Amino acid sequence: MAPRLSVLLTIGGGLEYVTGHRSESRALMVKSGQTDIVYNLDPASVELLKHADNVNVDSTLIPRTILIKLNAEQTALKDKRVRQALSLAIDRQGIANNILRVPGSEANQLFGPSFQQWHQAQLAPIERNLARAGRLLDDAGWRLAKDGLRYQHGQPLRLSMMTYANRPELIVIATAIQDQWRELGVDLQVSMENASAIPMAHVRGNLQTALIARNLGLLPDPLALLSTEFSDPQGGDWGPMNWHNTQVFNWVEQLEGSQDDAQSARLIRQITDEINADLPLIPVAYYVQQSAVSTRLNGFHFDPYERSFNLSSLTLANEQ
Amino acid sequence: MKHILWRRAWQALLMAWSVATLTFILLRSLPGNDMAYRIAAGRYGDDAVSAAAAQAVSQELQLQQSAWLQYGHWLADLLTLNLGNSLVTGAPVVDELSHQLGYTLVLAAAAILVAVLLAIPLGLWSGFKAGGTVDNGILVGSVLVRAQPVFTLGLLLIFMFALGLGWLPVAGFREPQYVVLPALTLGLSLAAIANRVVRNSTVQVLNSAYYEFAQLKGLSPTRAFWRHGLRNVLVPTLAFMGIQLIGLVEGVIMIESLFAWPGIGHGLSHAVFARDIPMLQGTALVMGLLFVLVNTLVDISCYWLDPRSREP
Repeated sequence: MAPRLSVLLTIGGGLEYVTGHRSESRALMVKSGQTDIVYNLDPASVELLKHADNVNVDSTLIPRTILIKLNAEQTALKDKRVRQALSLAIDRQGIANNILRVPGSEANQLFGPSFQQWHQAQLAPIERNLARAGRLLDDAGWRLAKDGLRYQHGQPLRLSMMTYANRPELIVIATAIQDQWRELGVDLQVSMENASAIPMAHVRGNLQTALIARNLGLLPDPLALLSTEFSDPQGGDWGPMNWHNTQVFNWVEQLEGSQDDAQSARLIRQITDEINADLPLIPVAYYVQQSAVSTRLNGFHFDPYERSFNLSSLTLANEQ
Repeated sequence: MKHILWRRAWQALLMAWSVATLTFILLRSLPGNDMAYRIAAGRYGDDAVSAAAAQAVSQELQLQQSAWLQYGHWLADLLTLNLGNSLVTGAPVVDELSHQLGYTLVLAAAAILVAVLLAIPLGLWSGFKAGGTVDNGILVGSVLVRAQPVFTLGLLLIFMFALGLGWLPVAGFREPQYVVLPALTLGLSLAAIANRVVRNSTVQVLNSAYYEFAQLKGLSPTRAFWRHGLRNVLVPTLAFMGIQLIGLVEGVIMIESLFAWPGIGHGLSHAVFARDIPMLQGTALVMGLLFVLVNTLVDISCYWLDPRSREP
């Protein structure tokens, strides 16, 4: 079984590994000195532990992006301007600061800083711009009515969003987005499901939007991911859905066969530019691995790619 | 006595069949019920659940078989006392249950002990001082404790005893001291109502004609209560504690989760999320049988305590 993992390490006369189901319990275990290392903490617990004298909180960016998966064949979402408007209506800074409690973790592109070649560091953060978002929707034919909702041909701009409970911050972010999109005139219905409902809805074609935390680093090179998910309209269970962009599909194919570094770099740039502009997926925030470490330990380092805690390099502070 | 045992044995059989069948039907009628996807998510985690993984699971476990066929297989296995294997871990359900059940029984027994040790003295004290400050004080305390969800109560106790005083560990299960806080949480919650039952029984006994007669015939207050009061107080209390076990099961799920206690409640919640039908049926079956067993013990105790029930 793979619940949201929850592990505590107690280092003393040997090493003990305990699975604690609830984030609150794990936070209190390390705060009380019962354990030395705890990982996967919810934002509220991180805040609590930051004020504890006997605990250091280690925040490491990992190659996982919180993003909105879209069905690009849905009536409204097939229009790029609608996707852009929805992206502009999200207050990413607010989400990063107040929900994730990690300022600076807001995402402005699909691939985060962990993917050096695929991340465009010079890209400016996406600031919330409701006025521009509103103009984009106006241009797309979705007009604001007196009831505060936008309509096209008498149909309201109403969307559904799935998310899942294993990552506690997702439902909070989803409801924040619900509120932020409502200000734009979009009625969003949020439902919390088991994570498996998302690939199932993708296959059955009844998904509209889903808020997910996607691990983009499962394979060392994102090209493998692009080859399977960004190379045809079928997309991927956790990737794009019904997204038609033959330009990107061709570039991905060219990149697969490219032997020339300069050409590969150029293609990567073109692909990421187009993905960031066309928004088959709307990035929201980059994921930060929050670990709490007792101050009696020295040498803690979390490897975001191998997901290793480097236990062999740890020492007890009073043994030095 | 024989009558009680026969009746309970018959109930246990009926309960086993009905719990298993109901679990099967309820699980199949849950919304978003595509078992293969759920089981794949349970087995491989969120990142690896995909249409391909779900298809592989469906083929491996033959989930495309009709529900009736699957139900028939399970029932036939049950008759040979074979509970099958977990759809998620692949381990025999019996092995998983025996591990989890041991922990839950320790926790439940400790919680009942705490509840009895708190409820009986407090209830008797309230009963003897009925209407007074002590009685009202205990009533207010009981209402406050019972009004808290067990989860909140558990957190409060963790803050007090683990973080504030540093006497007990927050969560875990390795050493005996780990059971103290979860048992205290559950026990307090149970005692909050049980002490009121003891109190009301005590008041009833103290105001009864037979108790007044016992005192009039010259017995000392202690002797009168010991000989004629205590048994009459205990009969409804015991019956009530038996019923409260349903509440205990509900509390066990939350408490095991909060205190990282690897018991059957924890296993049950995961089995529901992962649509692990054999695990769920097995867990519900064991819980149901436990409930019948405890009620049988309560019946036997009442039979022993109350001579009227032995009359033909």
